[in-house]
Amino acid sequence: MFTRGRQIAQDPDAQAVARCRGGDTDAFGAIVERYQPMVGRVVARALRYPEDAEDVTQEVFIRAFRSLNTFRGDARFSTWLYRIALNTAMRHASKIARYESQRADPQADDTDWSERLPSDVAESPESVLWKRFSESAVRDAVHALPEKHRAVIILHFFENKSGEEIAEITGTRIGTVWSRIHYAVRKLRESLSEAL
Amino acid sequence: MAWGHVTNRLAGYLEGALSPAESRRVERHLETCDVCRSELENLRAASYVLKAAAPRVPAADDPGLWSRVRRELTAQPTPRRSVWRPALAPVAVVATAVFIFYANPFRTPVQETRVEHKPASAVPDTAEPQGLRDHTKPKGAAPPAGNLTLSSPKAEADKKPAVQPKTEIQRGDKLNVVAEKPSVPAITVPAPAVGAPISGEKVTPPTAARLTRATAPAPAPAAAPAPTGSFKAAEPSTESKPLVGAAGTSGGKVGLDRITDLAPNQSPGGALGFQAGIGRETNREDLRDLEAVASYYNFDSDADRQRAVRPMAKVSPTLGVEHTLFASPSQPLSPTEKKRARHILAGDERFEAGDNDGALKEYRSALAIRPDADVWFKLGSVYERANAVSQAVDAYQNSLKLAPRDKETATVLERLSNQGK
Repeated sequence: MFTRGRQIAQDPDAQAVARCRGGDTDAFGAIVERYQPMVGRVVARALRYPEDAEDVTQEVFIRAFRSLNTFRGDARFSTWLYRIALNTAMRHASKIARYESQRADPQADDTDWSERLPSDVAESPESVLWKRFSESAVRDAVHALPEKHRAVIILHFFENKSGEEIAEITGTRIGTVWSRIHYAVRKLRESLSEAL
Repeated sequence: MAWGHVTNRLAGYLEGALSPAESRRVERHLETCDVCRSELENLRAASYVLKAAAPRVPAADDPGLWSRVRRELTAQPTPRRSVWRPALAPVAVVATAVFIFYANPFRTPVQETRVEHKPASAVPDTAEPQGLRDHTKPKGAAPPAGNLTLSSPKAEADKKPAVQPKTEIQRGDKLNVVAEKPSVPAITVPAPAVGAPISGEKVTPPTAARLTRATAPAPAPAAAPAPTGSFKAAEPSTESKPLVGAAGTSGGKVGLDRITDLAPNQSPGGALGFQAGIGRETNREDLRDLEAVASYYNFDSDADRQRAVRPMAKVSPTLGVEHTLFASPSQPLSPTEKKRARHILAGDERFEAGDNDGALKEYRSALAIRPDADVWFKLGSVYERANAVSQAVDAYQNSLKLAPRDKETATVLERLSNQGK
């Protein structure tokens, strides 16, 4: 108990959470201010259409506040919040994908991967294949993946999270993370190849 | 010939995150295995392409965010459970008794009598009495092979408007179960029979049981009028267990949190503590977040994790198969729910393949086993893509009735409504 009290005294997140639990809604404002950049970024990257990020970011914080009862304080608040952000954004993306599959892609579709791929990998047979996929097709394929595989792709390749960080966020073993990355990439290659 | 492929370690190898010994083993294997070398090349090429395809995110600067969030939060109760927990314990006891009463399969003789004498009395999926959740099918669906008896679709077409049961419990209130007359307009439910053409039919709402404040001496729950039902459980169903069946659907929020508040937080993994957070947030979206949180804190063992997600799986079983991001894949589901989940997944595949008829067939089959807001939404999506707007609206409306707080569904309905104008 003493340890927990000392942790709260030193951790601004824990302080804010404790105040929120005490009924001080305004204490959550500090959390929103502190984590807005992080949440906004992961939400935008997990969405198929980043322009929806503002609304979804708002939803993330509302959900987080309403779930504060379940935050026990024995893990980093940022990790807990990160997971809610990813979950909310992916769910939003799934819904949008269900009924707006024909929506125009706001991004340019004239990808020229040959200028982006390093020379040491640009000529491998696999690179030749991947260079044929357009940027929007790649994003579409990512968002068509099952959620647990989409999550690792977003976290690892879009968010540049390490396997260890992904394991912490998703609550899985690191071996599972590597396995999911491999499986997801293989699925992406298959679906993109079929679409060519 | 190489043995023991290392494909599941290649991502870690590329990141440089493997131990030296593991890295050496991977390298030795790569020297002799064409398959794994090819996989490594694929992963490396994909890595560059995927990183380059990452959405370009502008710097987040939303000074009005907190004011908007605060406005939403102040309109909702704050998470001060400790104040309510002791006071609501008596309420939870009564609510538990009510749920057990309605979920008791051996109480069905009353329903059976009504079915036999009033075969025209149909119960829409969205209007079932709380605590007695119909795990059958929506209107007009062919009866599932097994244990359910439905009235004929023709008879159902004569029914009265549907009503959405709702729960109003205030601190310190006594609970009484009364019959409530239907009061909202009828809804049109697409006929979910497998293979049926895209069409809709009017269905009727039943009398609905409602928990209200007791203004007069409250009769015992067992003496309350039996809810009207056009179906009956021919044999006890595993789905008819109390409590969990009613939360998370159609407004049946008699406060699962309050009920489970009675249980001490005795689970080492915090499952019960987590479960106590469900009640106020019993739509499926909130469940997702709570599920993630629960599984996070129950990561120490599969047993703990399963204990955490099991209550949610009962509230929304597809969470365990279709939507679960972080829960244990070995989460147990009943064979019926597995079958239902397979229909949903098959429907998704058909939908993604552009096969409207195939998707409709699969989703209808899932709805026939047990309707929920998600599948109704999916069905609406198919109808919408098939330009069957009226059926789409009906499906979305059914979804909204089961998940009234779902802003996405409301948005879609509004958009379709505007299109109609």
